[in-house]
Amino acid sequence: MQFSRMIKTLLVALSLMLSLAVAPAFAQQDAPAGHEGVPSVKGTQAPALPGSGGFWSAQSQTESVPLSFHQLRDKVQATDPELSAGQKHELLRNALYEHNILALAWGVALALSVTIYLILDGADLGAGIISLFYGDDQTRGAIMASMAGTWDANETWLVVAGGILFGGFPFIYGSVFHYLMLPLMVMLLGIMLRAVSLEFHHHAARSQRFWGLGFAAGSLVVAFIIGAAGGAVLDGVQLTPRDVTYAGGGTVLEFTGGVFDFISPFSIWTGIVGVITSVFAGALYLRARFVHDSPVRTDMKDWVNGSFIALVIASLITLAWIWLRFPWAAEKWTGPWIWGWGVIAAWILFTLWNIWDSTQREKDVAAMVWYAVMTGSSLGAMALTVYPWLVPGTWTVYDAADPSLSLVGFTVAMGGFIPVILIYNWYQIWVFRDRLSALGAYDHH
Amino acid sequence: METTFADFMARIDFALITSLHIIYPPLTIGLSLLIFFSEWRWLRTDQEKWYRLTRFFEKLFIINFGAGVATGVTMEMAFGILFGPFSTAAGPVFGHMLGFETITAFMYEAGFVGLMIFGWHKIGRRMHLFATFNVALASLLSAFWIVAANSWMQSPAGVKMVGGQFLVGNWLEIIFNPDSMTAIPHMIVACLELSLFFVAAVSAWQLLKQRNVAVFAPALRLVLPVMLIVAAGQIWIGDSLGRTVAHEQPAALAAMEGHFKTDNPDGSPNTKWNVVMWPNADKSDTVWAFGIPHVLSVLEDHKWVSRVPGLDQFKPENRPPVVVPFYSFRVMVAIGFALFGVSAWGLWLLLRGRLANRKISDFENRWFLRAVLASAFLPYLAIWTGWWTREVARQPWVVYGLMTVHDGRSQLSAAAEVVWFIGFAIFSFGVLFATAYFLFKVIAKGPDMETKIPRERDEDHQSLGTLPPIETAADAQ
Repeated sequence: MQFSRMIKTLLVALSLMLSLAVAPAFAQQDAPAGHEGVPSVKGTQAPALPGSGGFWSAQSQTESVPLSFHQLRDKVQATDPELSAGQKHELLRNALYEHNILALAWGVALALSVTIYLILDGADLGAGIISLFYGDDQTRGAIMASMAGTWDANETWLVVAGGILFGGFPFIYGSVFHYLMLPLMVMLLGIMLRAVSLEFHHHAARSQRFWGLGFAAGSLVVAFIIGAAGGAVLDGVQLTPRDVTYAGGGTVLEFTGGVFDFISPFSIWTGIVGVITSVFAGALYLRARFVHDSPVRTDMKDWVNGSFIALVIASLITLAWIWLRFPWAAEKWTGPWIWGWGVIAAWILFTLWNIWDSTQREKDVAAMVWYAVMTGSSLGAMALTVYPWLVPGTWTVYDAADPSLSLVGFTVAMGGFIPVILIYNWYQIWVFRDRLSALGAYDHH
Repeated sequence: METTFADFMARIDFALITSLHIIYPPLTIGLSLLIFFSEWRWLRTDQEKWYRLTRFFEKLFIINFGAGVATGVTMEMAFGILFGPFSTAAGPVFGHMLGFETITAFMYEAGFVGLMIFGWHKIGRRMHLFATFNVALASLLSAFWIVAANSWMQSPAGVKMVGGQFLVGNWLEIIFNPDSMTAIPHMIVACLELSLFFVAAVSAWQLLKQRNVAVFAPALRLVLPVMLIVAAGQIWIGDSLGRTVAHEQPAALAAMEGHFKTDNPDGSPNTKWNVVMWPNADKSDTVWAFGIPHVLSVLEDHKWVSRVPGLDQFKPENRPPVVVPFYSFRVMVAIGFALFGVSAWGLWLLLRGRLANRKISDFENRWFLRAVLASAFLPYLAIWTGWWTREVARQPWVVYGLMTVHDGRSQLSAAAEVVWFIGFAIFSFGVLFATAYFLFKVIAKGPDMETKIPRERDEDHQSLGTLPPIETAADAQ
């Protein structure tokens, strides 16, 4: 089967990317490090000069106190005035090396789960939005049936991303989610509605229409909110410091603004882009999911063409808007790596051309795979643009990371389980690979 | 420290989504184990009844599972939204544990559930059993992680507190903290107990209607002895957890027992155990109470006389609410004993041979079957009241003794929190009623005794254009 081969290739490529992310973390094992895997110094004692070995060996014999990225930086800079700037830099660099590598690795893992989620669930959401335009419950039911065996696993990538964000980047989880309270709340209600609608539609007799509409409306809401939340995060979040007494005391940054702060013309627009992108993904998915002569697949030809053009135009507008709105983006794109951005742009254009070419030649599965590559590449390019920030102007990937990140946690979670998940996700998609016929799905009526 | 209305609403918001989520996972966890057992019996014996039972309870399983996923996604994100400062402070410990849960259990389960439900006739029988096995294992793992994370909040061990954060000191101490060692077994056994009573009640209902006796009478006979062992074990584990709480969270225990005065006016230890009571406004004493001397020290210390710290040992602002923990705890314990009683009744009938296929629906068994049917609802209530006891009695702390709810909650306005409450109340209760409706509908319809039983090596990929039989049967009505 061509479909299974291509999905397999895609997943192998993803696992390779993942192992690349893990590899530097493993290589880091030889580097000098605190035994907790955390940059740490003993109490208030000034660290010795690098090279004498005192800095690390001293702390490994005494009870160490792990320090956060910022605290360590302050401490090193406040220590011996005799230390030259270069020596301080060296000290700091060694101390933070492992933390930063791990933070980056967790960041890559986060980006990967978000990307996989958007690719997999984006198609399900889009199919749901398209089903809004089918008045008859039979077609909508067939669309719902097409994802019965896989939607749940697709959606769990969002929960995985949430888990990585919570543990790996608690500073973001605790501040930005509060900023996004309203959209996340609506999204969660949408997810809830969509999930139960998918389950109950099959069991309902008289209320099928209600659950079908719930599924479609839930999909629309979720797609819009994900786009809008993405735009709102690009805007950055205003945080206020607060002195606290718990857990050793310190200053924490928290969001104190209102629940409507996330709304801006830009975030509304990115919400719309989220819907357009989902519709395109959904149309591609439905083309690949239904048998060749089914009415749904025929209808989707126009949907694919229309939403492709809409997607290209929307992407250009979004790019221009980002360029104008965010100086950091414009600066990076026109900076010394401009040729690199040119290569990325050319690659994305190439993937777009391939999607178009595949759809026009009726290669449904190839179109989906190229769509996945295009989405992955675009999100990757956006991540590179935002780097080193995770939330522009608010949290860098290094500052936002859990100060006590450890190699063990990362290796167990990412090195051990994610590849296994990818293998059984692939197996599951393979089992449910065959095309459906809209009529066949409901022929017992 | 002042407790505001917004603090209260933050707690109520979280209580709402957790209370309306915890209804579903216990059945998922316990039932997946029972389905695995039934499917394994089918593969070993090739008897039709095991296949019909497997498929029937699987239908109920998936309805419940969908509702669990739908309400569960909210939980994870609600920590960041409603309890932002807590999430930042405890993320390195608590967040990672939830992350490990999503990766090692949630994802794992979701992947195999699709195969388990929709994989019939598409994958081989052994592969299907393997999928069921993985669903059961993953859901157990999930319970392990979630309760371990909650237990860490009850008895926070193994962390270093630096700069307003709980950082990982020792993962083993964090995961196997004093509370988790009894709380995890208590929850997992509760899941099993709930599912056994669920299966028993569904069987009893069918038997009362004298339908499919050949399938459900063996099911009831099989679960009855297990029910007795599990119900007895749960009482014992519950007692251990009570003593853990007495040791780790003395204020919580004092609230659960309505124990205000450590000593009697004459200086001897106050060992009176209140059966019923009502506290006064400042939680310094009871307004009225009925108690039995010596029972408290016997329960908590297994001694005739011992000093159990009362609420007077804690600063007024650190005293938890009393009414909810006190009465919830009593309801839970009463249910624990009631379930033991029903199981013992059933075992007695079983040993006297009154539950044989041809006798089981007889008139003289009707009250027993009705009692079994009614006791299906009790474990749900016990799980609710148990969690209410646990979560209310540890107030005002979000991380016990280290961080208060007031410090841990996001600075949302009370209005925003009320909006959250209304939104989730409508949706969560909607999901609850719909789930109950569809569960009852499938139970009322009974198992599908007609469709073809899959044989080895007849997986048919060409017929995949249609929905799998489970839906076909449900929709054909």
